[in-house]
Amino acid sequence: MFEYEKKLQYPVKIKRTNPALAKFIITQYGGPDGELAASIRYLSQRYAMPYPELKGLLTDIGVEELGHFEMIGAIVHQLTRDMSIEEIKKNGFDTYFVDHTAGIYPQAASGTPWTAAFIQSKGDTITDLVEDMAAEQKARTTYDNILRMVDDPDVADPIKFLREREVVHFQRFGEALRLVTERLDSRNFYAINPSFDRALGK
Amino acid sequence: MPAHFQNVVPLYAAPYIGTKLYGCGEKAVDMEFENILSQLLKQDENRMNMRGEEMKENVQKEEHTHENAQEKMTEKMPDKMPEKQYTRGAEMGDLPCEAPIGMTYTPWQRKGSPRYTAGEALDRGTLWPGLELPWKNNFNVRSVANTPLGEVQALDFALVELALYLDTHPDDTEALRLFRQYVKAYQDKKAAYAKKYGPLEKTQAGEGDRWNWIDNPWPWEYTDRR
Repeated sequence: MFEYEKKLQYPVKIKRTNPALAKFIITQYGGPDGELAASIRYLSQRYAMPYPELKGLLTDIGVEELGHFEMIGAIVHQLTRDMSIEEIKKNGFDTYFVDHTAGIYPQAASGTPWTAAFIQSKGDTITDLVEDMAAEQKARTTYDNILRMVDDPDVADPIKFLREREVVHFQRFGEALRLVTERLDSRNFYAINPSFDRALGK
Repeated sequence: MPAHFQNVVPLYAAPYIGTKLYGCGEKAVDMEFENILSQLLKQDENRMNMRGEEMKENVQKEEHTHENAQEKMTEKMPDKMPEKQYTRGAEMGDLPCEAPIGMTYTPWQRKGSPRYTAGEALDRGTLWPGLELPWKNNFNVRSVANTPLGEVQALDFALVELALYLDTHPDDTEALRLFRQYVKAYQDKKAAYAKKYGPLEKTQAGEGDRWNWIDNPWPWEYTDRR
């Protein structure tokens, strides 16, 4: 089960309203490499994980990503507080505004709504972990690109924090893959899928 | 070896038939793997009965039993496959055989790696200086852990980082000890914070004469209060 803690993982305190930034940062809320996709990916993949270390890791990172989802929501919320219609039109926020006002909606920067098609849960241990490593790199690149376009330190600091989390998670997923391959035959890692064929051994 | 036979023997299993399985170097692959493989082989053997033109004809001609097929298989398969077929994956790259070709290789984070304090860790997004790899080497150094809530967040973050590390290093006793120390500090700090500023979790709420769980600010609301 899940229990809410009434705090963010890292503080988000943005003084200046700036819908121009919200317009693309929303992509880490509901975009293809965003935090919602990360969380749903890991929390769904964990059921097929064959070893205790992997069940723990996918659960813990999946939960942390939900906290990041909340941080991005807070960033977008604070960037879009008390906007004037003038600001909305000037910053190109009108296309979002007309559908969602200043509500927070999980969509990509392009406007594509969040979809489970962004993720995969393949039920193959090696495949899923390699997807997870790729997902962390894709999120890291997205944060790099966001940092290229953000000059407000109130926004850049939490983004840099989130970006660094991607690097740490990448390392942990890499170690998880080591835990898998060390249980397999190094001459042919692909001889079996340990999350499916393993059941035959019982 | 008849052509149909080559098609029905599973490719992944062929090099292992009649041989002992070894992993990297002399390390034997666990027995579980060997059991699985033998069961897979048995399954495929059954499937083999159903496949191949020649086999189909045999089925029509005579009552084709399981024993019959097995007999044919042992008869056709050599005890040991030619030596060159064993060299796949391991020992084919220029890293040690733990890092075979055809698979990614991530070095383990070493036990006893240098650590930041909890406060520095929150600022920088990791407890581990070795994993701090910022964009354009633009390090996050502004301190965010110097507020009452920041102190709670810093200790909680150290626990998040240590938990992820322990998920892949469950036997690191030094990290375990550190984790328990941080748990104690976190619980104390969180209780003190809740007493003064309001509940962080529901079990800390409802102390007074109203349900203060709902009180503003909620985490996404920026105020100067904290």
